[in-house]
Amino acid sequence: MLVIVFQAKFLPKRLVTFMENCQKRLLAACISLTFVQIANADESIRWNGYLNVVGGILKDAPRNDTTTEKQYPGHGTYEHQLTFDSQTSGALQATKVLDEKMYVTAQAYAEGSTNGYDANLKWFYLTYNPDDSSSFRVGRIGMPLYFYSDLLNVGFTYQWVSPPIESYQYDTSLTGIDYVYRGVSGNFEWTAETYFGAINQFIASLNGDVNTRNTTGLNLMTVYDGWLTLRVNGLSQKATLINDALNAEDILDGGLAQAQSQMGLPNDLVAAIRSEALPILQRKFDLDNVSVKYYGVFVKADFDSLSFATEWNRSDTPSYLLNYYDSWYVTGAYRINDVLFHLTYSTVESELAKEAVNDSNATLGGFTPDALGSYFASQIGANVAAASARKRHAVSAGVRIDTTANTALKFEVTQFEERETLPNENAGIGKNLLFRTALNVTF
Amino acid sequence: MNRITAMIVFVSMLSAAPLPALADVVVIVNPSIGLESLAEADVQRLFLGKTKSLPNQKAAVVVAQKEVSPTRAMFDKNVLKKTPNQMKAYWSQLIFTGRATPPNEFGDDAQVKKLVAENPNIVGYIDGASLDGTVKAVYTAK
Repeated sequence: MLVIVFQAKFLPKRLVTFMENCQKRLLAACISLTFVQIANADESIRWNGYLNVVGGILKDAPRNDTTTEKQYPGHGTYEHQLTFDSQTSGALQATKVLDEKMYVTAQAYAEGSTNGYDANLKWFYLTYNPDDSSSFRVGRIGMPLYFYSDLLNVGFTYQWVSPPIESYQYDTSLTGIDYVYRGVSGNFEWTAETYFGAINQFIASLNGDVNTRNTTGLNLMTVYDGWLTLRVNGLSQKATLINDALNAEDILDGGLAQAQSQMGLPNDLVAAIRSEALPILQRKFDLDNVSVKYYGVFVKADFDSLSFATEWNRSDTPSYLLNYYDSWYVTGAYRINDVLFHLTYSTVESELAKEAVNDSNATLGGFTPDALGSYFASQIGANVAAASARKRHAVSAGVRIDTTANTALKFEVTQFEERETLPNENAGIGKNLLFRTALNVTF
Repeated sequence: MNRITAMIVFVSMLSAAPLPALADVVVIVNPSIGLESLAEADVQRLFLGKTKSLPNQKAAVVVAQKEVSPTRAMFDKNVLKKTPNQMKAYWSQLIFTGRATPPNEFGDDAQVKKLVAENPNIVGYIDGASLDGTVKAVYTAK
């Protein structure tokens, strides 16, 4: 805590006030944990926490519309003015040791981008280590999907301000069970991890509630001689996405109102088109109980002052709107004493579903209500699918300065580009620059 | 004696004078545990929370010294090959994913030595200059 105060004196007063409020809220939330008997706290309760104060500004204000004006892609909720709320976050974690094999962990977490720093209980789980090689976690845990997934918010543990969003799009917690087996064979340390459970949460990057069932994952990782890490992973689940912005009725009515005003269509024709198009669109937008699969490979070579890492991931969601995408990044870092320089290239590319591609090429088959309805549905559907799909490339360069054993100061600039996923797509297609700085604290 | 000669004599005296020796850090166990030595990899696995067993299969509870201790700084750097910041990042990864908890911390060589001498399963480290017959050194790092 003293370290935070020490760093805070270099920060604007308004930011210091915010940090203090944030910490108070976190503290208040932790105090309310019913199963951690704070009132009886003794030395067997460990308190840990982290704080990420992140400020950033986009070179150009994001523009993502259907006008012909020059478009600029966005990055999270950053704006063309310095903001601190997009990625500022903090957490306070309590760990109660029950006995030599079991302990309970609860983490209260708050962030600015989704809920205005209202703290909530992000994770709470029981860890059970029956022997030296095995470890179970039961409860609500960070989903260990990709290499940095369950550490996504602990900025102190990695070089970037945040891992590339092209790969790390979702911050998800899993309620279920996780089992890790560790072993050593000669110069190889290895772990096998499997988990099972369900997700039920609002995911900001999807702007919707995600419910999954039968989420089953497997991660295999080996570390050779302390410097070479290889990890492969896979996951399978059934998922339902509830996103109000993907309401077929609202989208169709908006499109028809625009067409009616431009072409002067009579009301009865519009009604006939609507009744034909609506069920088609509802089927296309259906994301109820769809099968989702993820795969990934991570490799890292860590020398004394030089390190390289790369990670490739695939998300496979056979559906009209999401289908599948590949994401990967490659990064290199060089350390000189307490200063680390890094350079990263990252990309994500979606593949549109065949039906969406066909819809984008559809032609009007006549002027009957059926033909018009089908045509409207295909055009609207293809546009929404294209908006959901991504072809994004980014290059970021940054520096991390380890200011104390508990604090790191970071500066990072990211150039990113959105490319069209369908010919002549315009909305949000272009380049932009993001400048960020971060103060990461762990305690 | 001109000034140059005086400087040469002064420098040669400096180089001949014994520099204060950097003490060795030793990993210590209770003599009753029946362990002769540990390899560096064993020490790293123990103190990085990757195992809770000694090579002779006996359970081990490791203790560290407080962050301000110079012995700890030397141990982390020379044995675990990590800077204080890297140590913090390493344990943060384990703490915030519930994989492991860091060793309990004790103040100095005397406290750690006393603890190890009185508890058969505890493994710690101290400055080699503090070593005596109450504990057994099983690994020495320069």
